[in-house]
Amino acid sequence: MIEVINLTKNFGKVEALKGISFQIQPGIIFGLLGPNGAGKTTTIRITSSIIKPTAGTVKVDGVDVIKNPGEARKRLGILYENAGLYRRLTGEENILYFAGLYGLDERTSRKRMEEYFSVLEVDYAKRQAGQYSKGMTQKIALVRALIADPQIVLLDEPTAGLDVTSARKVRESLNFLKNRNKTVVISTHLMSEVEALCDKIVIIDRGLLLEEGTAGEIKAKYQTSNLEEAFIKAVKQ
Amino acid sequence: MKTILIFFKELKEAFRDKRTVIMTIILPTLLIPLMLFGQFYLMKTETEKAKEQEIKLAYEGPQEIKMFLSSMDKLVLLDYTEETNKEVEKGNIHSALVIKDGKAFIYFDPTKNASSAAMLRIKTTLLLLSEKIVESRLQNMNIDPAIVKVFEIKEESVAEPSKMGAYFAALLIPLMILSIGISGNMYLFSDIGAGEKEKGTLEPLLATPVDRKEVALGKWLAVSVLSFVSILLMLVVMILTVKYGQPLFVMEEQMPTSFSLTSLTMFIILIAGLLLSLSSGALQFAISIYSRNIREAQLYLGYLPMIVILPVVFIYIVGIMGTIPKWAYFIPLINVYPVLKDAMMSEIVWNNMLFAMISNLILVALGIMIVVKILEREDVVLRT
Repeated sequence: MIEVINLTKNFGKVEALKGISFQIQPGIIFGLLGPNGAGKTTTIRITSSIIKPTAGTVKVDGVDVIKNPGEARKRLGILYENAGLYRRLTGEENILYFAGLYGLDERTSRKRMEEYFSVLEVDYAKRQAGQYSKGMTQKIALVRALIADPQIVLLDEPTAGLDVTSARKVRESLNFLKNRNKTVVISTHLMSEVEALCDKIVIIDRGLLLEEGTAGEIKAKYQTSNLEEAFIKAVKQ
Repeated sequence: MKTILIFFKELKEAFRDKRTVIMTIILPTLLIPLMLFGQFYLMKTETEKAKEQEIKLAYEGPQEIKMFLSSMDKLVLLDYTEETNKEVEKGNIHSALVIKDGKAFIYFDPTKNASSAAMLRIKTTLLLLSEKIVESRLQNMNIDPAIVKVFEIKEESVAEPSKMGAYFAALLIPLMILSIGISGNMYLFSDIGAGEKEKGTLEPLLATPVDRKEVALGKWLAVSVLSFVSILLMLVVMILTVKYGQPLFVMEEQMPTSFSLTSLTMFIILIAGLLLSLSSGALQFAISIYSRNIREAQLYLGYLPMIVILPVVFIYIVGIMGTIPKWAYFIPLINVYPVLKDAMMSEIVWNNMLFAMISNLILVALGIMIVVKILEREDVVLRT
């Protein structure tokens, strides 16, 4: 479970988050929806304790990310929009390196890695990451995020820039994670993706939480048949 | 444990990068000895060539001197004309000699090696000839020529040939070690800090449960070890070149190029090299991780050799003229030069060694602390 409590973040004079609060229940796919610059990535960065909030806090399974960042990070797997693979290492080496950083032994890591490779249809992991396409990179980065078997997975724009097939594979893997009772937080501005995958959504814009609920609830509130329409109405309000 | 994991990952990545391999292994093992001894070799061959070269000399003056000059080997005598000096300038004639009113004028072009060499040869010949003429004139007057010689000057070195060799080596090798330690792995340093930011790999790394200190230590150890490897390779190749390559670059028999290193000297050189790698590693890593991107890191790191080498050059000159000042041993990085020089000359002052070691270790600690602080600063970590 993730609890976001009165989260505020200022970058100089810019208020990126203005005291937002919401909760993410375990075992669901949760959508963090908002236009560019809404504060989605900032929320993910605070949750992963890369940056500190100006006020408020985030709790990951009850662990305060400000007071105990190391413990909080152990419970999270994160996929960034810029996957950040080491280009001179192979896909396997990238994953096993991170597994080592989480303190996993090689045997367990390899077993888990092979399992995710088969789900995501990865058969190129012995090649150096510098030779991968965007889709290939993203799939390896996803396995890297999952290698420590975290209970919560944060995905920042996981399908951005991917071709149709790769994007579909990533989306399928999210359902695979949900079936394993993982909590998946996906930050995106793709409405169709959110509508198809997410059990619950928050819409944020300019650092403010505008809406919270299921896709159906939000559509009903704005009396529209699709989420995109509801999103635009929410942002314009 | 995580530090070791990060350390080995960094080494693996570094050795898969052609630029790092070139800078860490190929440059110190091939290029530097080639540059260094290639220069000696060229100087030697050029000097030998100059000795063997036929001199074109334009002459105007007494006939008896002209006859003497004509009898010399490898000398072509031409008549001095109004155009001669221009021809010397063009390089068509090496030198010109005009003797009149008891004065000998040698015209030459100091910007041309061949002309300078010709001038020296003519000057030496004239001095010898002058002595002979004086001698023969005194003999004609039934006076012993020894009467004009007050004393004969003979220079005798009391230094062992090996110490002279060490002196020459001590002028050069510490500078080479310092250059490699300060600037040899600039690309690697810029990649390991700023490069991680630029490529987006730093954020996922910092989002793992690994402590910032372990990240800093692992990376710093890796770059420092690679830097030390460069220094070691350069040392080994230099020692081997001096040992086996002497005939290639010895200019004169008198010039001492052989020197032996005692185990204590070798030990101090290795410790100084290691300290240099660690302290310069910490400083360069701190600069790199602070930088926005690889380009900015290379810009900052590019100034470092200048900042270090300029005071070293000052100490080098002071050292040639007298004693190295005490303060030189207190400044980290810079003090590696006097420490190495003392060790190679077997003039070790243990207090100075200790000061140098402590100051470099302080720089290491400061560097690592700065890196850890930077890794905790989101404004620096996230800026690219």
